[in-house]
Amino acid sequence: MRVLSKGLSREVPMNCILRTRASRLPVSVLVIAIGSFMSLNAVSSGAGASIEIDVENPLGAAQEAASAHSYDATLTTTWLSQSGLRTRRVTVRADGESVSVVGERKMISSGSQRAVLRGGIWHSIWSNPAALNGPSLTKKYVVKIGGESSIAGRSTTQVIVADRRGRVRDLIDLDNETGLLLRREQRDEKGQPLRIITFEKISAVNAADYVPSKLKAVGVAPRIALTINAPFVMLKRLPGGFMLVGKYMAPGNGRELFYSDGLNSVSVFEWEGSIEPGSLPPGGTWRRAPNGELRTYDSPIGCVSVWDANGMTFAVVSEASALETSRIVAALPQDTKPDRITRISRFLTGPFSWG
Amino acid sequence: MNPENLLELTSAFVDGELTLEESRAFESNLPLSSELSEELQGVTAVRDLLRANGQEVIPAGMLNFIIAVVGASDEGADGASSDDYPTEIAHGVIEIIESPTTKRRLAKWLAGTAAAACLLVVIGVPSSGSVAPPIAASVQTHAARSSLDEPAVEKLSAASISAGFLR
Repeated sequence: MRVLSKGLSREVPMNCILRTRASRLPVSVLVIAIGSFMSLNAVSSGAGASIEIDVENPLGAAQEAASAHSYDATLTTTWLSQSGLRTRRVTVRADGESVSVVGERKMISSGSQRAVLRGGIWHSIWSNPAALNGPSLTKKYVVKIGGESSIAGRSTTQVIVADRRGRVRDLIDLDNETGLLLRREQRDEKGQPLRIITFEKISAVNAADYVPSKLKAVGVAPRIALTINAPFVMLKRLPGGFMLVGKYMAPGNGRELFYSDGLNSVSVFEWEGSIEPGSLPPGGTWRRAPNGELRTYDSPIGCVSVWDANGMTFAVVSEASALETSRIVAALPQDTKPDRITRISRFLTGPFSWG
Repeated sequence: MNPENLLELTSAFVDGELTLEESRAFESNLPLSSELSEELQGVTAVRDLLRANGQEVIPAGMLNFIIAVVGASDEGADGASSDDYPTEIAHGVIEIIESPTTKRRLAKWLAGTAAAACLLVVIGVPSSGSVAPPIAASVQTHAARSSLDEPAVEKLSAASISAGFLR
């Protein structure tokens, strides 16, 4: 494995390090050691190939690796909810053309297309390629290469992402042979795990040529919004170093503003009108907002915050920590004219509509 | 007339317990007896003072309990339910009124029906300028967008779990 750092414009091949240290040993010992290492490696990973880890963009490289290999796998997704950590098992199949996942619903990824299966028909939920690059990962975080371990029987190398105060925020385990992401653990500022994805089982991983997508999905995926006009609100940056990297037409004739800090992403959805009483899904809790209240949900994707302010409804879907998300919410419009009738009706219908 | 008989007669007159003839005789003696006039003024003053405190409403069942304790439950055993029981037992002195259970039950039903009607109106008739934000779809959309820059397996696996979102 090699560590690649674009920021420093240098490559540090791991085998070079091994060779420098090993040159002090007798040649026979060196031959035996290398032979043993290669045989063990061949058993654990099936081949002796190695990958480069781009410390500036380890997740992007893992994404490319995922589209270039075929495999069947089972993984678990764990996330922090109000009732503690929750875990679900998901099966995955990748074939070079697409990656499909089957959890409580079936979803598919192919190129820039994303679709969900409903009633035996694929419904498109995304079709646009990413247009803008987000900020560099190393602008906000410090990235280090950690040790090696084994996940689902495959040798991995860990990438440690810490914030500027030295707090570990993300642990990314990449397959040494293919570069596939086999485990990821996201943490908050206190070291509490927020989300963990771990491959439990994975079949033989084979290289697969990219096959043009044959996916036929119905429905209209969100389109790129060229401009964001009033009454919609667009901030080019959010607290915590989140930069605007995309603006789209959102479901329900709304707008989606997509932000990234290089590691995590945040979507701000906006709709015209106040929240219709009883229209929000069950679950979640009311929380105090800077000038009113908002409803929050803990989903496997991240924290969801919903509120209305001055005739507009906002929803923030955030992979960031609760602290960062609260700062983002506070930076967005808050209600300056509380609608007493709306609040009373929400209070009345709350126990029935929120479950 | 001894004082006890005088007080009893005056109280009976004030409470309307004398017959017509007895009342006329009592009234005809008032100008002739200063003692009787003073007694009447005293009884009337006491009654007015008690009435000034207003009616006392006691909880349902309390009256029956009191009657049972003082041994008067026989009066309620002759087929009269607690709701039928006379609500005034000392007319003119203190009115003790027991809230009828059936009335309160009816009031509860009416209040409940009114609340349900309000609820249906609030839920069923969306106010102008309101929106039903598609939260579950938005979460999926966010996952789809973020999966362009990161491993799609991770994001789509999370998005494939409903996590309580029904829509």
